[in-house]
Amino acid sequence: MNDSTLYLVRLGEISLKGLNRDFFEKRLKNNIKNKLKGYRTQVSKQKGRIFFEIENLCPRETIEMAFSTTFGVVGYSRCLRCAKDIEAIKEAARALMQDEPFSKGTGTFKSITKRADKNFVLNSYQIDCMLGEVVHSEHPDLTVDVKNPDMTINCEIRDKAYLFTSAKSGPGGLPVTTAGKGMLLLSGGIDSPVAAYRMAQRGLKMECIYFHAYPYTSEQALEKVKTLTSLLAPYLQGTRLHVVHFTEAQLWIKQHSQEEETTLMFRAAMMKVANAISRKQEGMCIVTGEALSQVASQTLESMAFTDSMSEQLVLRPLVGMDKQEIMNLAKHIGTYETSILPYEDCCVIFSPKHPLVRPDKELMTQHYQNMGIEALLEEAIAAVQVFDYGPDGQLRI
Amino acid sequence: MWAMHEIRYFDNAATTGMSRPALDAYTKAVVQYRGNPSSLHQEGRDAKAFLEQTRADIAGLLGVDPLSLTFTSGATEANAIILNSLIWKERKGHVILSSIEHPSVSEYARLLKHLGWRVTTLAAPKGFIQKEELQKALCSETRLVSIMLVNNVVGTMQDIGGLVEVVRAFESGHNNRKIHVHTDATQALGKIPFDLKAMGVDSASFSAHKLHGPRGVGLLYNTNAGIESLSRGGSQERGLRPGTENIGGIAAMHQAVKDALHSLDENYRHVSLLNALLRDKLSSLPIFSPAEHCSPYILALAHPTLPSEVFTRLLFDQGICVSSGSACSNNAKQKSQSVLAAMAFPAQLAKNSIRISLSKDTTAEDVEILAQTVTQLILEHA
Repeated sequence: MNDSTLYLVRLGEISLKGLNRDFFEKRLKNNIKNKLKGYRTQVSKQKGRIFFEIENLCPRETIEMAFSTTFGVVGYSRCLRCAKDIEAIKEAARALMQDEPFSKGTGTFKSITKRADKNFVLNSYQIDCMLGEVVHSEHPDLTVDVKNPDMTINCEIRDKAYLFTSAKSGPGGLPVTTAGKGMLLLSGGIDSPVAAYRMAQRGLKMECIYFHAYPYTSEQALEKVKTLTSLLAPYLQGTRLHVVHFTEAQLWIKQHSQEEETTLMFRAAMMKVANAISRKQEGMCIVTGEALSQVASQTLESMAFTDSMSEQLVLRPLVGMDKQEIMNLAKHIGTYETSILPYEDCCVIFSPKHPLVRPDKELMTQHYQNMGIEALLEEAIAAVQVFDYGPDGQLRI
Repeated sequence: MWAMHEIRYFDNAATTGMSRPALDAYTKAVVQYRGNPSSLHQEGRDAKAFLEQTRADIAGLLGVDPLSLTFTSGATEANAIILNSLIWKERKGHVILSSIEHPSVSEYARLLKHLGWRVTTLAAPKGFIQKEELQKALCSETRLVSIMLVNNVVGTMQDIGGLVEVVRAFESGHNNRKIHVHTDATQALGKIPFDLKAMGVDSASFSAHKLHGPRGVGLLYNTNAGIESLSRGGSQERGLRPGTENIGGIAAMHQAVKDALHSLDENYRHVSLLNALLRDKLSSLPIFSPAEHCSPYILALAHPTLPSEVFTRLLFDQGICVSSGSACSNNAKQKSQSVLAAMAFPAQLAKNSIRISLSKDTTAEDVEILAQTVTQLILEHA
């Protein structure tokens, strides 16, 4: 393909797969291609890596976004392919020197050559030395460190010569959709987007569910959740946001439950709704951002109760994480700044002063059943609003 | 959620719409005086002359010396110039603030304490500062007293003249050592009659956009030559407020002040009638703004059950704009609630508070619809 740029994508855990490796590689390839839709892309595979040849009309940012948000990609680098000719290899190496990370001109480097074609005139050591000379001639301040270099220049002699520099990091993990589909309870806080990231990293496709209680929670709170969904969408390979209008149900719970039990009753009702939406969307699990003992509804007893309200498996990827770790990851994936916007996701009138911390599961189940909320929940499920976001994070109208 | 309703605006203590004459004055000034007042050429000198004439005109309207007026970007900056001046002082002293100040003053308590100053916050039961409390708080180390003229959350008006007398009496009994008295008069200018000289304050702050002038321009009245700004730069505004002067904004502010003062009595009567009408129609609700010694432009009340932001949203669904507190900050709700707590109102009521603020443009029909809507929402959310 003329007027195109070659990228090399390194695979991590996928390379360890056995007979089903093809399944994972194919998903990864499709997930990346989905993010490059509209641009001509050719894909070829070699052991442990995939080459993407992308037409130059595709903006750099789109390519960066595609590789850096697709689970399964461990690292990626721009790659030059040239004839197996010493001058051509030198020329390609010089071109790579103009780009990051070498363009900075300071630090340490190492050259790494793999010579699959043993008929090539120079051996690996000789190629390494030749590349070292090119680096030095372009950036004299760079020094060699073969043990712990800041950057590398790589050359592989195969059907042609392939040259590339040290890779940018991808998010690792397994391609989204390879593990099936679940429903994320998205609140607008710091934790649930991080929970989505962690589960997507294990290949889980997710749709998001938000419980909106206007006018007790604001339109800005809903807008914030939409922004979070759009930020998560590239990691989730596109997603759907289900907005459940929950005001009537919340008021009902407030009127028909004991004050200290209201939060647990809300959680139970949310589980019921999430299960119903999940079944309809062919999901297999519910994902939450709960962490053990973070708040009253996240104690062992409380989570055991809410678990019992869900027919589907409840996954809590953050359950053992420290708050600071969660915040660091939220910053890393870019959701933190939105999550901390000051729009409350639950109105103060629905927050009991002294919520129950150690509920009795059987008793709570009985209290929940006594509330008689099913009809209201069915109405809420029937009136769910949906918003679809593409793998590029854009809302699809 | 939000249905199509005619917008009825009751948030005039947050900001008012700019008047046509003010806008015309702005346009005329920026077109006619393009020069920088600090430039030496004719264009600059013309702009400088216009600036000084405008200062003199505003001074005439306020009955003060033109040299006592500094143009600022608003009342927040005017307050900051006075309070920041303390930061220059090597010897840390004592400062008295009222507990119901706008955050642009009250937030200085934390800063000044951090810098080693002693800060006394005067209680304000039901929104009024007691002279005896001020008397008790004064000490030989007191350097500054700051008490706002009209409170922005409930509208209570302080007897600033009486409070200044307490300070001056203390001064005369303590070797006449000067205590600077500042008042934030942002919610008063053009709405409540007052006389700066008769009140005897050393400084006062004002903002143009509260009286149908533009945003981004305000005024500091200051007679204390010892005030020194923290901002550095040119010598504009005698060094108190360096930076190129906002000629258009200043011209528009002049126009707005002139119009507001000209119609002050008429507007006051109009707004007082509307306020009385609202109080009558909503008499079953808890009302924070006292009936006396209170600006008719502000009426703070509470929904019996709904938190203020929920009530505010429900009202906006009907096209009605009110405030769930002072609109000057993101966490305005919390700050206005702390002012209500300082006034000794129960916390349960304070968190349900909303502020209705009127203007000369508010009509009886607006008020009727507001009262009907509030009554209806209270029935629906009892």
